[in-house]
Amino acid sequence: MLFYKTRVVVLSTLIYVSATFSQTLVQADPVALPNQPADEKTSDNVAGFVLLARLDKAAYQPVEPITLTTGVKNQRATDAWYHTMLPYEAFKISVITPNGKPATLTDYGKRMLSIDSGSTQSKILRPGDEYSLSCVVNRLYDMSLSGDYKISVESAVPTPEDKLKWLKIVSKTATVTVKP
Amino acid sequence: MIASKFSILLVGAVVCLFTLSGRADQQSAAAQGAPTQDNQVIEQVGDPSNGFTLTTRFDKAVFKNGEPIKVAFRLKNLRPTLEYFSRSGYGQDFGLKVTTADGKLVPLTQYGRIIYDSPGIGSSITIKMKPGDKVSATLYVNRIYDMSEGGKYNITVSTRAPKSGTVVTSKTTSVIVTFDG
Repeated sequence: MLFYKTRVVVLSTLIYVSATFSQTLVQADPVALPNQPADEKTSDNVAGFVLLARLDKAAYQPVEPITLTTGVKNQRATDAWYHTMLPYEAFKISVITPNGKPATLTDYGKRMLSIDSGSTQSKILRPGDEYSLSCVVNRLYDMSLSGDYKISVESAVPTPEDKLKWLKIVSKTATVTVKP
Repeated sequence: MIASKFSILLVGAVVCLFTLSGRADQQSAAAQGAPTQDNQVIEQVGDPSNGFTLTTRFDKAVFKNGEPIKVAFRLKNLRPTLEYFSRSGYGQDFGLKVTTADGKLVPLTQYGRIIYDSPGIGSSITIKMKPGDKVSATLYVNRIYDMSEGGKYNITVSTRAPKSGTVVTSKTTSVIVTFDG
C-alpha cells in the first residue's frame, strides 16, 4: 500500500515538473515556434487601393527561403481597373539590411530586375479582389547576414477619375529576423 | 526437370547481373562526384595529401527553391604523429570553391565576404589530432556563395595541413539547384 502511494506521488511530481518545464521552454523562445503568425503590413488607402506586404514567418534560419507576398487590393465599393506589368516591374521591393544599408541584389536578382518589358495589360479588380505576387525575397536580395531586415514594397495605382493617372503607394515596413 | 532447374538458374544469373551492373553505374557516377539520384547522400573521400584526407558529405544532389545546401566534412590525420589543427569559429579554417557548370567562379555573398575577407574575426582554438583522429565541421554553401541562379554547381572543400601548411583538397561534388518559379 505504501509502495503504491509512493508511486502515485512520484508520478504526480513528474507530470507537474514536465508540464512546468514545457511551458517555460515555449515561452523562452517564441521565435522558434514553427507556425508563428505571418507579419502582414498594409499601406494607407490610396485611390481606393491598399498595398500588402506579407511574410510567412517572423524569423528564419540562415539560408531558409523567405517568402514575401505582396499585392494591391481593391477597397473601393466598385470595380477598379488595374494595369498589370511583369511582377517585378509592378512591385518594387526594398530590403534594408541589419547594418541599415540597402541589401545588394543577388545574381538572379540583378537579372530579374533588369528586365524591362514595357508591356502592360489591363485587369479588372472586383471589390475586395487582390492582385499579388509571391517571391523568395532572399533569392533576389543578399540576406546572408543574420539580424533584422526591414522590407517594404512600392507600387503605383490608377486614380478613380483618370485611369492613366497613377499615384504612388507604399506598404508599411515589415521586419524579418535571420537567426545567427 | 533438368530444363526447369536450368531456367531457374538462368533467371537467377540474369537478376544478379542486373543488380551488379546497377551498382557499378552508381559507383562510377559517385566516383566522378556527379549527382546520382535526387535524394541520395553523396559522400566522397579525398585523395591522401601530406598525411591527411578530407571527406565531404552532402545530404542530397538536388536542392529546390533555395533550400540550405549543407556540406559536412571530415579531416582525418593519417600521419603517425600527434598533430595540432587550428579551428576557427566561422569556418575560415576550411575553404570552399564553388564554380558553375561552365567553370566560372561563383561570387561570395555579403556573409561570405565578411568571413573570408576578415580572417581575424571570431576566436580560434587548437585541436589535438592523434593518429587516426578526425575533425568534423559543416558549412552552408549557399550562405557563403551566391547560388541564386538555378543550375549545376561544382563544390570543393580545402584546408591546410598542420605544420607543412600544404593544401588538402576534397573531391569535387556536383549539386543541382532548381527553382519552381
